[in-house]
This record gives sequence, structure tokens and C-alpha cells, in this order.
Amino acid sequence: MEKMNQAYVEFKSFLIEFPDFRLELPSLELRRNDWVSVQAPSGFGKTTLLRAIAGLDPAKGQLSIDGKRIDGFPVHERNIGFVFQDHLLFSHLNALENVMVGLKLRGVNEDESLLKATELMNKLDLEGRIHAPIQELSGGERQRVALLRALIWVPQILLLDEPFKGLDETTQRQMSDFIRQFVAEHGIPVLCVSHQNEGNQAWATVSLVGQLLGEKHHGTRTFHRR
Amino acid sequence: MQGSQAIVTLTLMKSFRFSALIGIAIVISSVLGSCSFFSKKAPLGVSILTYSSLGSKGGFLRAVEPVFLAETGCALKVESTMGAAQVLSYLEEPGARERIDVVMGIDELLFERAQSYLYLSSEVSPDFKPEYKSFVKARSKAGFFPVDYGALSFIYRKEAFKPGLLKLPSKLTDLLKPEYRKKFILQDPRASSPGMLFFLFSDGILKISDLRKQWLTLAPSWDASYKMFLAHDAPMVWSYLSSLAYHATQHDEAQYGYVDFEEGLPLQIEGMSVINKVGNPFKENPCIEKWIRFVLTKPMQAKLVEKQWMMPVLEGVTLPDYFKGVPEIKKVAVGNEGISRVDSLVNRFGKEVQSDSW
Amino acid sequence: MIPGKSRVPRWLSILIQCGLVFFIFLYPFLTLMNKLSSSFWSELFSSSTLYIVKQTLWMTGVSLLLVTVVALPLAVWLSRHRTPFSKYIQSGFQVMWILPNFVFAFLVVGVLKLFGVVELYSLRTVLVAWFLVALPFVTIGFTLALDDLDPREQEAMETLGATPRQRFWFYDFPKLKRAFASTLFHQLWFFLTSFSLVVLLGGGPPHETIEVSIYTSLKMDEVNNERAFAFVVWQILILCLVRLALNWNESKALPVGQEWRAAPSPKEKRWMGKLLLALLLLLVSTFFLVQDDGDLLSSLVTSLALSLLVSVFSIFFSIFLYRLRARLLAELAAWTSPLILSWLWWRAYAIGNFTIPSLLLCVAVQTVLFAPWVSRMIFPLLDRTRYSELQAAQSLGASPFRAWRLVEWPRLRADFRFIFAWIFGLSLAEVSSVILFSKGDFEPLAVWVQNQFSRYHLGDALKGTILMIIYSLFVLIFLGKSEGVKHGKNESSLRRI
Repeated sequence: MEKMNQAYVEFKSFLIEFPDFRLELPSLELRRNDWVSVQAPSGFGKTTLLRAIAGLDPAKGQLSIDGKRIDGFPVHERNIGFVFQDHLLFSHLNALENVMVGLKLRGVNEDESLLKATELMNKLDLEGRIHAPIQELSGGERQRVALLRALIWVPQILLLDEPFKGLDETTQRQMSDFIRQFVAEHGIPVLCVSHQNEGNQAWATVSLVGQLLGEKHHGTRTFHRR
Repeated sequence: MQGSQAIVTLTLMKSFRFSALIGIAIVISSVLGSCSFFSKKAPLGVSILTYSSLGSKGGFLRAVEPVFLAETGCALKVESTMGAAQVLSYLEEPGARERIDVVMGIDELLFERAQSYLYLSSEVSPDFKPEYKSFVKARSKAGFFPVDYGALSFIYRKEAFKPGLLKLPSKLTDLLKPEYRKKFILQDPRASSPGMLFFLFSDGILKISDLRKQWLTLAPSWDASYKMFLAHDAPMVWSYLSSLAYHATQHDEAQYGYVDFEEGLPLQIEGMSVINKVGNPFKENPCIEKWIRFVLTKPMQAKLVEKQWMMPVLEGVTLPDYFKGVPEIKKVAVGNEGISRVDSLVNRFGKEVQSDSW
Repeated sequence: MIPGKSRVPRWLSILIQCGLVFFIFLYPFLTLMNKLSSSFWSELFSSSTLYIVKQTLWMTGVSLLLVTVVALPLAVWLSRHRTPFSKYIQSGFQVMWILPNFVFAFLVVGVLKLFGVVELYSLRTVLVAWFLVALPFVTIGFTLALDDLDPREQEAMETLGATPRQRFWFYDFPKLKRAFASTLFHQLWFFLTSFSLVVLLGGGPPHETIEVSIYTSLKMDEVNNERAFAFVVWQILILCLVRLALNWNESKALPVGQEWRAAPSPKEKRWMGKLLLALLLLLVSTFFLVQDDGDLLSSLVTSLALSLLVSVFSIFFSIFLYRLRARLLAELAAWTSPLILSWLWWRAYAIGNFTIPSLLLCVAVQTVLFAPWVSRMIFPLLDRTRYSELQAAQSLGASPFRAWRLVEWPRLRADFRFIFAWIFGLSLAEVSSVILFSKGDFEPLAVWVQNQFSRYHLGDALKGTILMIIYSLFVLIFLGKSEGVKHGKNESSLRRI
């Protein structure tokens, strides 16, 4: 319990620079089970922030997980799960194979991967779609597969970029319940960008709000904790 | 969807029509610019079928065309093929034979193959008695009018044969000695008449399977082999003796020589023949005789030497200065061997040269 | 994706296609078969024929393996490292791609001599030359395929923990294996129809391929028509199998999303540099031409006219076949080789009872020969016609042609220019489909160069060769496709590679 309450993820002077503006996260500490709701107007840079945390876009400053700095690490060594806005499922693999990719990359044996993936897919009502090609999945099914792909190998942080976009309420609820249960079980902090804000804010333990600092600060956009 | 497909169809068709019009205009102008289909044969003239070296721009026929017209009033129409061998394919076509009067640039072997299509008489006119060289006269055949000849041997680079280095071969069997391994370039006998003449020359003396280990390469054509020789790939190349004349024009003739084999040297005689049509072609078309007479004059023979780099068949032709170094043949090695021997060689060649090692 | 019903009635389309097949293939084929004797059958299965067939297959297999082993990692490196150095390598490969084969032949021999190799002319030398010729094509093919991958999906792999190597084996390769196979099948076709390198570097018989055996049979006189035709049958059989395998492979290929590509930028950068380079090349060629007495200029003009006509007609012929929905017909020339088709046409149309002018014949034969390659590029482009946007343009008041110009032409322009320039360069260096048709009044540059060699005019021959390279380079300046910008707008159409 004590461990759960300690700072697990730390941001210090996290800064993303663009030619015409800056995006900063001055400081933030997250505990293991924190759910961070990222709120800002459209086009502010919420996705950019997530991408920078994942290492997909360059950023300055410090990012530490469990006391270890990872800001200098390449993407594939950061162990940060990312559910993309456009799913980005691999079209040459079926649903099950997509889910299993992260485990295979980590050398988990075939049988174990299969068991784990099947179990999780069943939990999200995908049992009938296990071997379906990606092209045949509906939007909601793809979203669930993308979520499982990012979670199954237990990342250190989970980044969600519009995970509930285009989903009906039932599916949204099902997914959010699943995520909350999974992250609670494994102690994974979550940063979530979602316009479906009701749910996101309801269980958020931290709200990160975007604010434009004005011309005096040369167009700097900052995220601060509310 | 159908409406937009109609848009695309209509647009493509419109632009296609417009572009098709331009394309047709280009084609028509190209066709009109090209000769054979629309041009009519001049009322007085002679059609020559030959190969590209003789018939192309810069070749003998283009050079003498205006002279022939001025002297005889006969026009010259030329059709040429890639090489001499394709001439026979032409002659197989009845339509092609209708268009052509004379085939020029064939050697004795090709003449033998084409005999069924040719007018086998040299009776041009009683007063037509060209002064052929003796060895040319010795190989005369009815219906075959020799035009030029070339002797063949190995042309060598003297720097490779200095004292202490290689010794010049004196007979064919010398080529099988270890010191000549990869030292000479030949031509593929199936694709090149100089190459065929070498293998006919050496047939019965050298085994192809032994020779196979010695040659550097069998080039696909004479000019490819000579390029390799000039690039110093090997110090010897099978070529015409007239290659020495080329080196004289480059002022480096002192660096090159030829191998005078004990067995003699093979000779290739090129000539022309008349296509067999109804009646006596010489009477049907007087321009044919005029052409034959025209070519077998000393000035035209000299022109042939200049353009074709072959030797004149007539006595007393003044050669250009750079031909002074080209020796007259002392001993002719291969005579008119006949196509049966060629066919047998070709059949054996493929089998004897195949091996599993490379 | 076939865009709906064509305005050409189906029966008419079939009739036209049958007519084309007859005139392009059947009539020349039957004309020649008519002249063959029964010895053709013994030639077909003779031990020497089978030896050559076996040797050809062996050589192409080894070459393909060698080139794949080098080209694949090189392509991965080029695709992942967008540095000036990698761009120079790609540009260098493009230059190598358009060099005439006999230039490669001399380069290879020159390098071997430098290393003191005595066996200059052998199968090994051919394999080296094939490797050098194939490497640019295969590397560029692989690189283009890798560049087509969605970078966002590649990022997704990274977030899942894939190292660069794992990314290749778990993502790049499975997704692109059929695209790679497609490039290799094309290269296999080039090996099988390779002629000048084998004939110049192989050392002569028995080191020859089927294509070379056809050539040597043609150079001989009539008794070897049967031998030539026997090899023609083997060549067509093997090429058919390769083509069928290619088509099957491509039918299984995964669609690669083009969603992330935006329309190409209409403005081209660095045009000033290209213009200066083009002017420099023109100056050099003018220097050669002014020293000539007119024959070289005449041959150059013939070659340029031929290549220009071929480039234009190839594109229109492809569009014409697309309108007829004649995809199979577009592929047909790839089931044979340039030498075979040229020989068949020469016998049927150049020396028969009627003659077609050489220029026209050459344009026609090359248009047919290049049709498979041009169609492979044009058909997918036309498949991706954006009907909804065309409708939108029309709803704004644009006529059909203006709508097409507004919507489609910006998308197609760069590709059409690429195809034009590519075919122009190929046609300029093409020898085997020209040499048979050369006559006194039709002497393209490649033939003129050969004739100069045969007349000991080596300096002139060298000038002609340099001019061929200059004009190929000239074309290369305007070659090149503008690339899509990543993370562009969403498009619904997909493309198979």
C-alpha cells in the first residue's frame, strides 16, 4: 500500500519545443494507480504530449519511472503502452496476433502468449473474433484489440489517446471498466486524452489542464495539475 | 458513382481522342518520312539487299549511290539486314524476292545456301571480263560475282612477343601450348563468319574440346572481339589482315603484326548475286548489269577498300597508303569447303564445347 | 479495383483484344512455325538445349540469391537513414540503372583486370555483372516498398518494445514479403532475358543462356531456325511460369495503406540545379555533334524521335488497354523477351510480302514490349481515381475535363512524368528490338555505334556511346517522383504492392 502511494512517475521541466510555440509540463508526480485526465482545447497539443512521453517526438527535461530516468531512452526501451487514436493495428496479422505482438517481442513463449491473449480477448467479448482479419473488425472491436495489444505485456505507463472515440456507451463502459481493473491490478498509471469527458473525469485522480500563457511567454502552452 | 465514372470516361476519351489525333499525325509524318512502304521503285533502278555495314550511312552503297546514278542513269535502292545471315531469311520470302534484284555482301557459304533463289549464271555480256586475282578466279562459281576478299589470321601486339616473352605461334597446334592459354580471342563460329572460318581452318587439326581451354573468349562478333583486343584483354585476336591498315591510320602499325601459319591462311570472298526471277534478269533489268560492271571497276574497288576495309578482287587496284602494310596472301588454307562441312561443324561444336566446369 | 462499367461494350472490347493478340503474337508466331521442319522437335529436347536451359535457371537462381542478400539490408538501411549520404547512394543507383548494359560489361572487365583476374570472360564474370546491374533495381524496389509502410504503424511497433531488428522481422518483412517477391520476380525476368552481358562477358559457348542461344541461332543461316525456335519455346514457357507466379504472388499481396500520403507538392524544388545540369549535358553533346559530318546527328535524332514516340505511345497504349479492361493483354509481352518478339515481328512484318517502315515497327514493338511495365504503374493509378472528388468539382461548376485536371492531374502528373522519362531512357538504350529492323534509312544511335566499330571508326563509336549515356542522364534529371508527405489526409483507396 505504501508503495502504491509513493511517486512512481516523475516529470521535471518536461518541454516540447516547436518553431512557433512551446509545450511544457513543468512538474508532475504520479503514483502507481493514478488516472490522469488530460484536458485542453482541440489542437492544443494533447496528443503531442503523449507522443513525447512515449519518445515518439523529441522533448527536453526529465522523465523518471520508479526512480529511473528514461528520457534518454529510445522508444522501444521505455516500456510505455500507447493506444493510438487511429488504432494502427497491423493489417498483416489477425486480431489475436495483433494482441500477442508485445509478448512475442519480449520472448514469451507461444503457448503462454496464446493463453494470456485469449483470456483477455474473452474478457472484452472478442472470443468470436479471435482469428478475424483486422479489416473485418468493427470500430469498437479494433479499439478493444488495440487496447489489449498495448496492455497485455504490462507496461509501466499507459497512454490513451481518444480510446473511446466513436464507441457506444455500453462499449465505452465495458472498456473503461476493463482498463481500470487491469491498471489497478498491475499498478499502472494512466494518462488519458478523451473528449468523452464524463467518464474520464469521474475516475480521474489527477486532472491535467492545458493553459495558454499568453504573448509575454512567447506562446508557451503549459499543462498544470488542477 | 456512374455519373463520375462517366466523367472519367468522357474526360479520358476526350483527352484520349485529342492525344490520339496528335499521335496519328506523328505516325503519318513518320511513315511519310520513312521510305519503303510508300515510295515507289524508280522506273530505272536496281534494288540491292545487303547487310548493315555495306548498306548503312557511311557505308559503301550510300557513298556511291549518286555516282552510279550520274554514270548510268539508274537509281539505287538499298535494303539492309542486321548481318549477312539474315539475308537468307529475306530471300525465303517471295514478297521480298520480288522487291530485290541483287544481293550483295554474301560469302561463298551463304551463296551456296541461297542458290535456289539465285540466278546461276555469270553470263552478263560477252565483253564483261573482269580481271580477277588468280586465287579469286580459281574459286569462281556461276552466278557469284566476287566483290572483295579478306585473309584472316591472328593479329598480335608486338610488345607481348618481345624476346624473352611469348614466342609467335607458327602452326595451329602451337595454340594448344600452355604459354598460349587465355592469350587469344576468337569469335563464335555460329554467330560470326570470321569465327566460322577459323574453326573450318582448324577443323581436323585441333580438337574443339582442347581449344576450349585455351581461348580467352569466343566473342559474339568480329567488332566485339577487336574491341577486347584493343582493350589489351589478350595479345592476339583472330581478325582480317586489313586490321593492319587500320593501325596504319592510327600511326601505330609498327606495334602490330600478323601470324603467318605454316598451314596457310583462310580466305573469305564476298560477292554479289542476282535474284532468280522470270526470264533473264540481265535482260529484264539492264540496271543490274550496269551495277555489276560499276562495282567491278578499279575506282569502285578502291572505294570498297576504303569503306569496307577489305581487299579488292581485281588486279591493279591502287590501294590507299595505309594499306601498304597489308600483305598479299601467300598460301590459301581453306578453300570452298561447302555447307555440309559447316553444318557438321556446327552440330559438333555445341556438343564438344559443353562441359560442366566453369 | 475496377471502376465500374466501361463505356466500351464488352463484345467490342473482346474483339479488339483478340485482334491485338492476333497481330502482336499469333500471326508472327504462326508465320514462323510454318517454315519450320520436323527437326524442331528433336532440337526442343536435345541434350545441348536442355543443358542451356538448366544453365540459365541455375545462373538466374544464384544471381537472385546474391542480389537479395545484399539489397535487402541495404534497402532497410536506406529507408531508415535519411541522410545526405543515403540520398547520394540512391541517386547513384538511379544513374547506374539507366546506364547501357555494355557500359557495365566494360566496367566489370576493367575492374577484374585491375585485380589481376585472368579468366576475364566466364560465367563468374557474368554473375558479377548481373549482380551489379541488378543491385540498383532491386535495392530501389525494396526501398520504395519499405518507404510505403505507414510510419505510424512503425511507431506503434516501437511502443510495443520492438528493437529495429525486431521491427524488421515482425513488421516490415511479413508485411512486405510479397512486395519484395514482386521486385525479385521482375529482376528474374530481366536475368532471363539478359543478352548483351552474357554474350560479351560469358566467354562464348557453353556459357550462354537461352536468350543468347536464340541470338546465335539467328545469326546463323536457315538450318538453325529450328534451334532458335526450340529455345524460343523454352524461354516463353519459363517466362510464363515466372509471370504466373508473379501474378499469383501479387493477388495475395496485402494492401498497403496510402492514408498517410498527401497529394504531392505541385512545386518542384531545386529546378535551377536541374536546369543547369541539363544545359551542361546539352553543351557536351553539342560539342560532339558539331565535329560530326551529320550521320551522328541523324542517328541521334532518329533515336530521340524513336524514344519520344515510344514513351508517348506506351502511356496511351496502356490507357487504351485499361479502357478495354485488357489486363491480361497488357501483361502478354512479359511472357516473351525483346529479342523473341522482335525476331517474330521482323519475319512477319519487316521482310514479308508487305513491309512496314522500320521506325513504325520499332515504335510498335517497343510499345508492346514496355506495356507490361507501364501498365503495372498506370493501372493502379487509374484504379485510384477519386470519383467523389470529381463529383464535388463538377458540383462546383467544373466541366468533366476541368474537373479531371483539377482533381486527378495533380496526382497523376508526377507519375506520368516518371513513366515517360523511364520509358524514354529504356528505349534509348534498347538494342535487341532495334537492331533487326535497322536499314540504311533507319539507323538509331545504338546501331550506328555498332556500325562504326565494324568500320574501325572507334573514336566515332566512343562518341556515340557517350552521347547515349548523356541523353540517358538528361532523362534522369527529370526522372523522380515527388513523395507524399507523411501524416497527410485520409484517403479511402488502398494500393497493392
